[in-house]
Amino acid sequence: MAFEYVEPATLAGAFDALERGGTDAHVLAGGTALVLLMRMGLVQPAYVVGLRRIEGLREIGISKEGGLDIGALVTHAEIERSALVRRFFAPLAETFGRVASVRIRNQATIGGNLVHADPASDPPPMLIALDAEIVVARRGGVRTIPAAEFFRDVFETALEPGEVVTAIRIPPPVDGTRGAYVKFLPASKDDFATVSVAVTIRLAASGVCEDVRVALGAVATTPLRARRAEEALRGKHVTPEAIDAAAAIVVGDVEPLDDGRGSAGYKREMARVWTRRAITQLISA
Amino acid sequence: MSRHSITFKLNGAKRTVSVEANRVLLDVLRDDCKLTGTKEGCGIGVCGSCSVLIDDRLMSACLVLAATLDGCAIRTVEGIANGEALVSLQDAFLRHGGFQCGICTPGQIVAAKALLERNPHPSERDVREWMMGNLCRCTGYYQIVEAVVAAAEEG
Amino acid sequence: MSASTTDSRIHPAIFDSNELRLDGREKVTGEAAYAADFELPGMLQAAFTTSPYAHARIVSIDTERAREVPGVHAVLTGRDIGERRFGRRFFDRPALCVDRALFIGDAIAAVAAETREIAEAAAALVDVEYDELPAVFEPDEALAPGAPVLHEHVDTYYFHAGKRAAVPHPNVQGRRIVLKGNVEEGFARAEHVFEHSFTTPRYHGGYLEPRATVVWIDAQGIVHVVATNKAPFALREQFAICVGVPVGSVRIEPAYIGGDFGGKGLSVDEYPCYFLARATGRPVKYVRTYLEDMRSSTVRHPSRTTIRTGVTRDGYITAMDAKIVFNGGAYAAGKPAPTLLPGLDPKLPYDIPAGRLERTSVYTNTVPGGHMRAPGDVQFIFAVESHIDMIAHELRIDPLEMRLRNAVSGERSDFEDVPYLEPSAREMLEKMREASHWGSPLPSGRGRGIGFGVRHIGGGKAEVTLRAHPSGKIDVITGAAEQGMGILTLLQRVVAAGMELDLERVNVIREAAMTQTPFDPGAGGSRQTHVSGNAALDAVRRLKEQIDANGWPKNGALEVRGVFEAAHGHEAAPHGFCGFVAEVSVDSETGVVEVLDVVCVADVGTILSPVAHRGQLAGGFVMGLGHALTEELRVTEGRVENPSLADYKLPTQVDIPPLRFVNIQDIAGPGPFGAKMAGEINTAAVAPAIANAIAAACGARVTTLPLSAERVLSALRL
Repeated sequence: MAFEYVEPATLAGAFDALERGGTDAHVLAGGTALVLLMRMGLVQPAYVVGLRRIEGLREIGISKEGGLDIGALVTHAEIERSALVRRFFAPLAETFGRVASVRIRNQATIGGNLVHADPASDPPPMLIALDAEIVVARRGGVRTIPAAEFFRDVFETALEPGEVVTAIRIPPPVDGTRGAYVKFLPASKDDFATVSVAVTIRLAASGVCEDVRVALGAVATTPLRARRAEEALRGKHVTPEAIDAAAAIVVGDVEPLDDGRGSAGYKREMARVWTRRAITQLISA
Repeated sequence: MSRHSITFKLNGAKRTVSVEANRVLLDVLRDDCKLTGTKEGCGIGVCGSCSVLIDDRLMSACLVLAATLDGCAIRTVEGIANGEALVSLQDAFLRHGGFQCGICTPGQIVAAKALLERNPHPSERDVREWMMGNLCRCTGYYQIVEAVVAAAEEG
Repeated sequence: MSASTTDSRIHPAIFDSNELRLDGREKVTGEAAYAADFELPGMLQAAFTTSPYAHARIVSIDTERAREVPGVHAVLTGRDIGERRFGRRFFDRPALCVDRALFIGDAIAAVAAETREIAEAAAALVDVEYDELPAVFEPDEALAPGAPVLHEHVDTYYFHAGKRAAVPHPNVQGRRIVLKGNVEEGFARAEHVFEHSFTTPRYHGGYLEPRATVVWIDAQGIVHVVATNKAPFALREQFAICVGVPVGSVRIEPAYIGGDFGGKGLSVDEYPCYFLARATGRPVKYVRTYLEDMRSSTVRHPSRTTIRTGVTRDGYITAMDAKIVFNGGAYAAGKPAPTLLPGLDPKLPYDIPAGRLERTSVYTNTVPGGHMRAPGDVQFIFAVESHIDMIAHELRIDPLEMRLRNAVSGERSDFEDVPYLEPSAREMLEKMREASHWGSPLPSGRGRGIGFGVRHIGGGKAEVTLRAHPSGKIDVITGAAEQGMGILTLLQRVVAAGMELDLERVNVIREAAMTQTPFDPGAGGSRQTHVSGNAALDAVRRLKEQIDANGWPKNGALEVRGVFEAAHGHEAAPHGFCGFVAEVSVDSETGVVEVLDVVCVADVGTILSPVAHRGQLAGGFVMGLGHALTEELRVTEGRVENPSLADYKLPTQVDIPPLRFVNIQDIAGPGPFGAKMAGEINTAAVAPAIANAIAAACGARVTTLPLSAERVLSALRL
C-alpha cells in the first residue's frame, strides 16, 4: 500500500484533496476500517485524506430544536460515555457500547462507521429507528440524507464522490419513547451480530402503540427498517399476539446470507424470535 | 509515497521519527524505536497483543497509521514499570500467574492499566468486559482477571 | 514401569508455596525475547510465493521479474535448492515444492530482500505456470477408485528412526489397528448393540504468536536458527537431515515461544530460510502473518468416528468396535508418531473386554494436519463419551452409573490390554458426583453432562546439568524450550527441593540446543515435568553423592549431568485421569447454550508449581470450551474461509464460565516427588461434557463439533 497522506486543515482543503485524488482517494476518519482494508490488500488508495485536523467535527451538542448533533469524528467510546447522549436517549449510548472492543470503540468514529456500511454494524439500526439524518458536505453545499436511505449495499452508501459526512442529527424522541438495541450473539460475545434489532416504541396509557420503529441489522445487504411490522403494531394494543404477528412479518422482509455466523434460514428465524423478544422486553420494562 | 516527520511523546520522552505514510504504529515502535514489547499477533486489531495507550486511550497499534500521531502521547508496556521497579499491576500478574507464554501479556498489562486509570475499582464483570478484546490461549483467563482485581484492591 | 527417582512420599514444603516464575519479570515488562524480536546486522526479510491451487503440477517458474526488483537479494525455487523434504518423523513436506503443489498455500518460491514489503512485492512477481490437477478434499474422495495419488514417490521419502509401516493405499498416511480379545464373541454376548457416528472439524492452535524464524550461517559454518519450535533438539536433527549439514553444525538459539499447543513441533519456514541465508550470506528472518499461520502451517485433524458397542441390559460393555478416520491434509510431516497418526492410541477409562480400534489418517489436498493438545483424543473422546451417554439414555441408566459400572480397575483394562497402575477411575467418578451434586434436581432447560478421559504421561529422554559454585549457588543448565508451562521455574523448584536449598540459591540457565548442551526432548506429550524434572533429580542425586564424598566445591565449579529416560507410550504406568461435569442451560427457541458451572476433577499427583498447574488446567479447559462451542476452521474445496482471529473465534474473557477444580493427589505419578501431568489431561473431556449436558437439558443430541446454537436447535427439532 503506497499512498500520499494529507491532513487538510479545513473541509475546503479536504474537497480539494479528494478532487485531486479522484476515485483513488479515500477519507481517513478513525482508521479501523480503512487501515484494516489496506493491510489486507483489499483497498489500495493512492491518496488518503485524513480529517483529524478539521475543526468542528468532534462535538456532541443539543440543537435549538432539542435534537442531538454528533460530529462525524466523534468516537464510539465518546458517544457511549457521553452524559449528554445518555440524557438525550440512553439506548443510543448503549448501542455504541456494543460495538467490538474497547480499543475499536476508542479509535472508530460514527462517521467512519456509517460510511464503511457494514450490514452487521450496530449503530445503523438504532440510528434508523431514531430517524437520524446524516449531514453530508461537498464543495459548494450541504445536504442531509435520512439514515434509512443512506445505505445502498454491502460497503456502499448514497455518498457521491467528493462528499464527506460531517455530522449526524437525531431529532428529539417524543416524550415517553422507550428504546432498546438487542444484539444476538449465539457463540462468541466478541463478534458482529448474527441478527440485531433496534426498537423504539411509545405507548399510550391505554397500552395502545402510538408509534414504533423496528430496524434490523445483519439480516440483509444493508440495515433494514421493518416498516410492515411497524404498521402491524401502530395504533394497536400491544398484546403478545400483536407482537408475534409483527415479528412474523419481519421474516418476509429480511434477506440474510449464509455465513460463518449462521445459515440464512437460521437468521430468518432468529430475526423473528429477537424482534418478538425485543419488543416484549421493552414494553414490560 | 509521502513521508512525514512526526513528533510525539513515547513513554514520557519526546521522539521525532520520519515515517512513510503507510507505516502503522506497531511497526514504528518495534522497528524504528526498537521497543519490541508490543507484539504483533493477529495483525487486524482483534487479539489485543498490540495494545498501546494513545493520549490515554487504549488502541490497537496495528491499526493506527503513525503519520496521524503528531503531537500525541504514546505509552507502551515498556513505560508501565516505574524505572526498574514493577508497579503493583505487574506484581499482581506475577503472583497470580496472569501469564504463561507471555506473548499476550504486554497487551493485557496495558489494557488493565487503561482500565484502572479510568475505573480504579472495577468489579470482576467490569474487568472481563473491558478486557474481552485481549485474547489469551494459555491461561484460560481466570488468573488474569484475578490479577487485575487484586491490583485494583491493592491500589 | 518408569519409577520416579525419589520416594514420592517425601513432600518438600517448597511445593506448597506459590511459585514466582523466573521468566515472569521479563514477560510483564515486555523484555522477554521471542523469535520475531530478534534483529541482526544485515538481516534480510523473507516472503513466499505460494500455490493458489489445491493440486497442481508446476510447469515452469520464471523468477526474472522478481529478481530485478531493487532490494531483492535472492529468489529461490524448488529447482534451485533441490528436493528438500522435512518432517518430525516422515519427511514428506518440501522446503519448496519441486514439481507439484499439494494444497493452497504450499510454498513455491522464497524471496530474501531488504524489507518485508520489497520481498512481498517480488514474491508477487514470480511467474508460475501451473497445470491444475483434480484435487481430493475428503478422505473418502482420496481413497475412492481413480483418486489422484498425492505422493507418487512416497517410498523415497526419509522416515526417521525406524521404518514406515505398510499402508493399504498410497493416499493413506498411516493406519493402525488394535485388537483385543474376541470381538465377534463379545458382540454375540451383547443384549443390545448401538452404533453412532461423530464428526469434528479442523481447529487451529490459536497461539497468539505467529510462527517466526531467523536463520544465519556464521563464519565458521555454524547454522544458527531462532525458531518458534518447542523441541529444539529434535528440530536440530530434522534440520540437519533436511538441509544436508552435520548435526554438530546446527545450533538452535533459545527464545521464548508465544504458545505452541503442539503445532510448533513442526518447523516449516526455517528450511527455505536456511537456503536464503546460504544464497545471500546474510541472516534471513521470516515472521508469518496470522493469515499464513492459519491457512498453511498445521491444524488439528478433522475426523469422522463410528463406534459400535455391545452392552448387557445393565450397560456393561461386552465389545467395542471403533473406527476413526482423520483428514491428514497434504503432508504427514507434522506428526511425530511412527504411525503418522495424530497422537498415540487413545486410552479409555473403561473396561473393554473385547475390542477393535482402527485409526486411519489420509492424505488430501488441504491444510496439513499436525499435533495439537491431546492430539487424536479431542476427536476420539468426544465420540466415545457422547456414545456412552447415548447408550445410557437408551438403556435408561444414569450416565454416571454406567461409567462406574464400566470403569477400569487394576484388573480391567481398555483396548490396549495393559492394566493401569493404580487407576483412579472409580474414585474420580465419585468425586465428580459429589462436586457436581449429580442427580439433584435442576430447573427445566438445564442439564448436567459428564466427560471423562485418561491420558498417558509423556516420556522421552532428557539431561540436565548442575553446576555447583563455591559461592553456594547452583546453576541448572537445560536445553528445554519454554513455551509457557513454566519448565524453568519447575526445574528450579525440583532442584531446590532435592538439594534442600532455598530457591534463591538455585539459578536456571537455558542454553541453545547444540552438541554440548544437555539434551532435552522438548515440550509435548505432557512430558516436561516427568522427563526433564526427573533428569534434574538424577543430577541432584549425583551432585549429592559427590558432595557427600568431597564436600561442597571450594575451588572452581563442580558439574554433574543427570539423565532420565522413559518410554513414550503405553506401558503399565500411572496415568492422568480427568473428568468434567458441566451444567448448561439451553434456550430452546434459539439453541443458545450457556455454560453455567463446570467442575474439573483431575488425578494429578503431586503439584510442584501450584500457580502454573492451575493455569495449565484452566487453559486446557478453555481450549476445550472453544472447541466445543465457537471454534471451527472452515475449508471449502481446499480453501480456508476464515483464516483470521476475527472469524476463527477463540474464547474471550467474557465467555468463561465458573470453574472449580478438585485435584486428586493421593496417587503418586512417575514425575519428581510423585508428580503426574497437567498439560493435556483435560482438553478432550470438555466438549463431550457439554454435548452430554445439552442432551440432558433439552434432549438435543449434537454429534458434530462445534455445538453451535443452530445445530442444537436443529437437533432439538428432530
